[in-house]
Amino acid sequence: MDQFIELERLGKSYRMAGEELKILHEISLSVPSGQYLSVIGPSGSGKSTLMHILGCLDVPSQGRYVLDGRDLTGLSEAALSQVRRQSIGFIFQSFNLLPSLNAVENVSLPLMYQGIPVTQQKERAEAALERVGLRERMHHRPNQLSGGQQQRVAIARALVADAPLILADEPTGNLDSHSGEEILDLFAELNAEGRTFLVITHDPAVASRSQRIVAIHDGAVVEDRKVTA
Amino acid sequence: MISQSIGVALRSVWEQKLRSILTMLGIIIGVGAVITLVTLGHGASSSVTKNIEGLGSNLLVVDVGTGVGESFGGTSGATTVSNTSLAPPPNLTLSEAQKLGNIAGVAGVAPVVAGSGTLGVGTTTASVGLVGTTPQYQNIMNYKLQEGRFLTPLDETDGENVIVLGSTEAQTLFGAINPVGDTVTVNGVPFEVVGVLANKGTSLGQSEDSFAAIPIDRAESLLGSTSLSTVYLSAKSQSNVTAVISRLDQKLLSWIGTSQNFSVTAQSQILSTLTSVQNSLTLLLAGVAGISLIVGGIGIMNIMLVSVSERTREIGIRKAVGASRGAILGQFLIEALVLSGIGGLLGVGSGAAASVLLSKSFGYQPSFHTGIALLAFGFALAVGLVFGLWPANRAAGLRPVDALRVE
Repeated sequence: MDQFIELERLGKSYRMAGEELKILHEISLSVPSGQYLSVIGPSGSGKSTLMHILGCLDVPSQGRYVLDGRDLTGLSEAALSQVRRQSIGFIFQSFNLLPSLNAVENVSLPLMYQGIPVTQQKERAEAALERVGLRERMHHRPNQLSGGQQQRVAIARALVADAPLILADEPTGNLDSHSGEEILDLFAELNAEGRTFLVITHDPAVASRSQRIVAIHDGAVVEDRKVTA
Repeated sequence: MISQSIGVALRSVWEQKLRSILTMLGIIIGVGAVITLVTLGHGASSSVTKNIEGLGSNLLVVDVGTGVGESFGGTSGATTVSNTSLAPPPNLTLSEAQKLGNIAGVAGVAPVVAGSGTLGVGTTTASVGLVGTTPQYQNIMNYKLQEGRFLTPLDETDGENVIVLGSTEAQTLFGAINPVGDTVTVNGVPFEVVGVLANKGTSLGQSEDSFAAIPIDRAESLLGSTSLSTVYLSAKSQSNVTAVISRLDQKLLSWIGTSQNFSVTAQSQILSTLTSVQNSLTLLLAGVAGISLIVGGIGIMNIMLVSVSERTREIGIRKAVGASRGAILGQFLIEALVLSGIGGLLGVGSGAAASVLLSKSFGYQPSFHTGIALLAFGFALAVGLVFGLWPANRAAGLRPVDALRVE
């Protein structure tokens, strides 16, 4: 299988008050296309920083990041925003929907930034909302939706541009266990359609739904194992 | 995408109605003030111009008297003053004044003996300015008749006591009745009213309608004065006014001897001086109003900066779903332009309304200058663009990971 994500000795460090603070130590990781991977670790382990780098929201201090055969190391902010636009869908713990926009408008955002005509934006956003089961609530604003529904709007937003990689940071962290289960069921369905999923969590129950678990501690990989069903 | 951005900007302006209106207030006041002040300035100039042109734009005024030429002469020093006081009082006779009419380029001449007198009809009396003059006075000073006729050459020769009333005097003494044919007393001497002048209004704050005209020889005997104080002349065309002035100067200098004791003024000179004063005043006022536009722009910058820091998370989300730096820059710039544009439009509206209302209350011809409105609106947009640039650039430059971390 193709290696969809390849990290080679990836590191990230910050300078704080003259002292170098290493968040990630030489992480090397390969993820084949279509895999459903969980990254687990306690808070402060560096897993969120890893997701930011994988999502091109941040850049590594050292090492190489190759996504779908393209080396993203050292790309400009403009080039990285294009990668985000075309290849990556984000799902956050706190949903990160824009409160002033309704569900369809929130889902349309990635298409708007791709310069797709308004009528097509609407059609595709509606189709994505239908896919996550929110057909009836398309014109509701986030504050009129439950947490689980808001997270499904966010999933629709991640799907709408047909991004091959979905990054989810604690996707069930703000949900009750029932809604969380529904979201994870949806992840499994969407993964079965061929999308690569990378879920960051501290919850072993969430991680157990994936195909592979990578454990991170103090910025380094301490465990990498397949999940046996 | 741009139309969608404008939609987004309009929406965020609408969602913060109070804040948006307060932000726009500076621009509204600035644009409105520029338009109103320029319109009023133009109104004032054109009303002054109209008044002066009503006097006759080819009009030349010769004043004779001790020291009248000093303010114009410019020859300075104590010697001049002592010379003047030693010299006999200057005098211009009626026949000399009539000779000025023969100077090349002069169309008409009306010597004036002026004084004040008491007009009486029955028990009603009025103290008025008496103008003893010749028939040409009417044309030179641009008067129209409301009733009857003006003085004629016949009045000068046959010695009849005839009088032409200004419209104010006719109103005071006779009310609505047509006074032509009636008799008024002037300092006790009866005069027959032969005509009433049409209303002409005021010029430079002075009424043009409050006087009575009688034949010049009658004025001389009535006022006991034979010296002319003023001679009104009209030039054949406005273009040769300057040449006529210098010829008049030479002639008068040869008669009177010193240029300190007479002056020749053209109405057109006063007009151009006044117009230039008005124009620079208008420009000054517009400049002051323009400053308030810049202050309005700073208000926009202030609010945009607040908006950027309030919406840091929104910027992070938009960047995460693929917004480029340019898209964020555009969003905030468009928002600043929408604020200044709407403010500019409201300013044009309020400026136009204020111009019309104030013009009416000042008695100016209400006018609306599209050029000024466009200029002020364009300036407002430019102010929005310039002062929106910094906050927009700050928003666009936020790193997505930092922007997302903000709660």
